[in-house]
Order: sequence, then C-alpha cells, then structure tokens
Amino acid sequence: MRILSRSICAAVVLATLLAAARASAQDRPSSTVGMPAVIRDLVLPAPELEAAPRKPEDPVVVRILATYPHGTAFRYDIEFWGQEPGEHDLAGYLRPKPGAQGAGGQASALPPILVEVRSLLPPGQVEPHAPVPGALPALGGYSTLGIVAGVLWLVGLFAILFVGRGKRRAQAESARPPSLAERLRPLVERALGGELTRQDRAALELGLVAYWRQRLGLEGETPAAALAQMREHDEAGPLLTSLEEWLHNPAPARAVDLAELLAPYRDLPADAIELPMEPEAEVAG
Amino acid sequence: MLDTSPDLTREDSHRTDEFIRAVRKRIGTVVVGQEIVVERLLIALFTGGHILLQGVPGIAKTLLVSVLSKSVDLAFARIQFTIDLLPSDILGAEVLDQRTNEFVVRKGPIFTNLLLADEINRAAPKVQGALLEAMQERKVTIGNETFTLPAPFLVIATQNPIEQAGTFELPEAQLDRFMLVHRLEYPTNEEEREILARNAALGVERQGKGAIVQTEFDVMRHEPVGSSDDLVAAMEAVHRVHVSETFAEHVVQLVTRSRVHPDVELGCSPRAGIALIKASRARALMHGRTYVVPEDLFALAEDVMLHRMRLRYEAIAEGVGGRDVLADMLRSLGGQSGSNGTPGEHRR
Repeated sequence: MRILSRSICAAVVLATLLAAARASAQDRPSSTVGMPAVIRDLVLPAPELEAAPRKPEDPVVVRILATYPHGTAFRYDIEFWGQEPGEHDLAGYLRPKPGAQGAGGQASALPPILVEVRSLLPPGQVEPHAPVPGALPALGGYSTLGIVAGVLWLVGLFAILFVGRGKRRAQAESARPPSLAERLRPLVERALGGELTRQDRAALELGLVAYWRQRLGLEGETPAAALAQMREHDEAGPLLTSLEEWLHNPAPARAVDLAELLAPYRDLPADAIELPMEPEAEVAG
Repeated sequence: MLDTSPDLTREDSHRTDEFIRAVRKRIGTVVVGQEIVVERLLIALFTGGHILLQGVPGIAKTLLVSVLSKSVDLAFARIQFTIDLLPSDILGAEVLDQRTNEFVVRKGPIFTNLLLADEINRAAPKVQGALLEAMQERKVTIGNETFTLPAPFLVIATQNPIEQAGTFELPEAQLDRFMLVHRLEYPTNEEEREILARNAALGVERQGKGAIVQTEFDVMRHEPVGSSDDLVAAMEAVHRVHVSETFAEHVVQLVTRSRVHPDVELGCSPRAGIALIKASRARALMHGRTYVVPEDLFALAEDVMLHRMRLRYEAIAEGVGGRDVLADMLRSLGGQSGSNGTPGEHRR
C-alpha cells in the first residue's frame, strides 16, 4: 500500500514537471529555419550588450534591433533566425558593448535566452555532406593556366590566319572577274598554235593596237605614227611586236615568255579590249 | 601565205639593201629631206606601179624624179603636159618617109623606162586617156601595129593641186591607174635651212663668153649608182616578201570598210587591195624586213586608197576630209576600244 501511494505521488510529480516543462517550452520564442523572429522588450540585467561577431558555423544569427535604458539595466528588441533546427541560447551570441558601464562582466552571466528553431523538413531528412574543398586541376597555378591560355590563343590565331587560306584564295580567285591577261592568254596561245581563224587573228592584232592607241592618247596621231610609237612603248611594244612577228614572219626567231608579255594586261578588266572572238569559239577547222 | 614564191631571206636581200642605200644617198645629195617621197618613188619603181605626186610648185617634185632616173641605169623621158598636147606627141605616130614613100612608125617619148609626166592635169582628157591606157596595158598601138612598152615602165606624174584654171582634173577611174598618189608636204624648218644653204653654195658657170647661174639640176651627177640588174633583183626580192594571211585579212577588211563607210560614196576597187599588198611588200623590203606588218599597211593606206574614194556630198559639206575618213576606217579596224572605232566617229 505504501509502495502504491509512493508510485502515485511520483507519477503526479512527474506529470506536473512535464506539464511545467511543456508550458515553458511553449512560451519560448520560436521560428522556423531561415525565417527571422523578433523578441521585443527583453530586459537583461547586464551592461549594454551588442551582437557578437558571427562565425560561419554558428547555427543562429542574432541582431539587436533596438536598445532602451531600463533602470539600471537595458531593454532590447532582438531579432534572430536559425540556420539549424533545435533549441538555442541567444545569450551566447551577445557580448558587452565595448566601453559600456560594467563592460568587464562576462556575457555568460546573462540568464539563458532560449529560443526554438523548428525545421519544416520531415523527420529523418538526410543532410548533405559537409562541403569538402576539392583538389586543384593538374595544370597547376595561374601562371601555368595563363601560359596554356596564351598558347591556345596563338594556335587559334594561327589557325584563323593560315588554315584554309589556300582554299579561300582559290575561292577568291574563282570569284574574281578574269583580268585582260587571262582573257588574252588563251587567244594568243591559240593564235600561235594556228587555231584561230585569219579573221580572229586579224581582230586580235588590231584590237590590241586600237586599245593601246586609246590608252596612250594617240588618237590625234596618224595611224601609222601612232603604231610606230606603240611599238617603241615599254608596255605596249613587247606584245605588239611579238604578235606581229608570230603572225606575219614565216620564221619567227624569238621564243618569249608569254606571261611576261601579258604582264601589262594583268590588272586590266577583261572587257578593256573589244574582241569579236571568244576563247571557246571560232576554232579553225 | 598568199604567194607561191620562196620566202625572201635576209641573205637574199643584201644586194637589194645596198642598192636602195646607194640610191637614197644619191638622191640625198641633191634633194633635202623628202624621205617619204623617195620611199614612195622606190616603191613604185620596185613594184612596177605608177605614181602621181601632188604638191605645190617648188618643192622639188621634178628634181626628185630627175635625180632618181639618173641614179638608176634606166632610159628616162620627160613630157611637159600642156593644153595643146596631142596623144601622138606622147605615143608616137606613123609618118611618111618621103624617100621610100611609105609610112614608118616614129615612137613617142612613152617608149622609155621612166617617164616623167609633168603637170599631167594640164593636158586635155584625150591625152590623159591615151597615157593612162598605155600605163594600164603597157602596150601602145600606132597605126595598125601594137608595140610593147619597155620593161620596166614607170610613169611618175606630177600635179599641182591649187591651180584649177586651164587644168583638167583626172577622174577617179583614171586616178585608179596610179598605184600611189602621194601628197607632198612643205619641208621642215631644218630642211628649209639646209635647202637655202645648199642653194647659196651653188656658183656661176662660165659658158663661152657668157655664164649661167647654176641650179640643182646642174650639179646632178649623171653616172648611175645602180644597174638595171640591181633593179630587177629588187623587183624579184619584193615579190618574195612574205605576206601572211593575217595581213591579207587586214587589207580585205580595210578595203571593205571603204565601201560601207557612211561618208564614202564610192569605195575602193579590188585594185586598191592589190596595190596595198604590192606596196607593202616593197616598203617592208626597204625597212629591212622579209615580211609585211600592219605598219606598212597603215603607212601606205593614204597613198593607195585616198584617191580611189569619193566622199559623199553631205560629208564634204560638213568639212569632212578624205584623210579623216581614212583615219577613221583604220581606227575602226581594231574593233571598238572605248569610244573610237565607230565609222563616222570623227564627225561627232
């Protein structure tokens, strides 16, 4: 009987303590992880306090919003937000303000300021691993990286400038309108080979004469005098006299470089001389 | 190639080169300048063509022909054409031989190698016709007998272009008989100074009790520098100068253009093309070539073609001259390079 009564008394005391603890826990300020909460008009019997510098691993961030004198003590509006769920004591995150009266006291003399930070995550949520700094890449430091980047830039520049240049030049060559030299060359070659008709040979020869007469401004001269001047001219003379010898001399003596003869015509448009024949046409039978 | 004769080589033409050089030198001792005229005379001589020299009086036309005739060992005759000249005065006639009482042929001065027909436009048309017919056929009929003229036979006629009174202009058909018509120009200032200096150096020649003031004719040397063989060799060499098909095409194109040019009423006959080829060959030889080139054509076109074309009245009224038209045709030969080359371009 006595044991029974003792057990009942103990159960009552335990229930009372649990209820008190529950009530105490329900009064304490709380918030969820990452969400700020404010404790207003909190009187703390201590010199004027300030928030201690925050360390990265601190689970709670504390900020003093306002401070009011309160008799010999001070009254505070304190904001906090928790980084980790659980019960936290904000007193550990405060310290006496430097220069304040009685600042030499310890912050640990403060009464506990318990707050609760709740988590919205479901129970049993697996937390990620703590970040571990990874190893640097094998290339090394910035200088190596810079050298590599420089080399790559040079390689890229070289590729831009030179790779495919021949192809582009060939494309440009094919896209460029033909010069007079390119038009004349097959005609002259065919004239030398006897493939042009006599009419075309005559037109080729006198076409050149007409072109140079106009280019050298010899319109006012008699045709004979103009032709004599053309034959002596540095640019006009070589091809005219060579063509003359090829077309009229039964035994031409000179073997000349056709490319050199056509040099004065290299930069001229193909239609600078009007010739009645075209390279593909009028082949003698 | 147009001809079938073997092409001339430089070695073959050596003798002709010497002959030409000697003749030119001899002419140069008497006549100052006139290089082109001398060249044309030699061209006519070497090709057997006839030449008409047009020029104002006093520019040594007659002197030039005289010295040429004396430079070569050829028979020479001169006829001064006048209004009362008769064909028989040139060709010859049948005259009655009183001893035999038969008609005998007395050949006229045309029976020579080199005939200078001075001022040909002063003779009546029937005299001109007789001479020109003989020039063409190289035969003369006197009475019932036909005589062949000597070979070579060359007529060098002169004509004063400014005097019109008392003259009979040669019609185009008769002008066509002349292979070349050359228009002489005044000498240059330098040549004129040389002419004056030479003339001033001429003296006075005593003749019996009197004396004559010498002229250029008096100081002319009479011994020839070339024989008839030299002349024949030159004529043969000319005939062997190579004419390419291309050159012949140039000639064909040029002659054709004279017939279709808008300013020309009467174009050149085929005889013009033949003359161009012949004259070009001779010119090529005289310039040390064994083949003709367009320069020969351009240089000779005026002398060969101009007297064979008759311009339209509208062109003459607009002040267009034959030389303008010919230059236009030569320019148009090369096609139309830019703004030139269109026939009739010179009028715009």
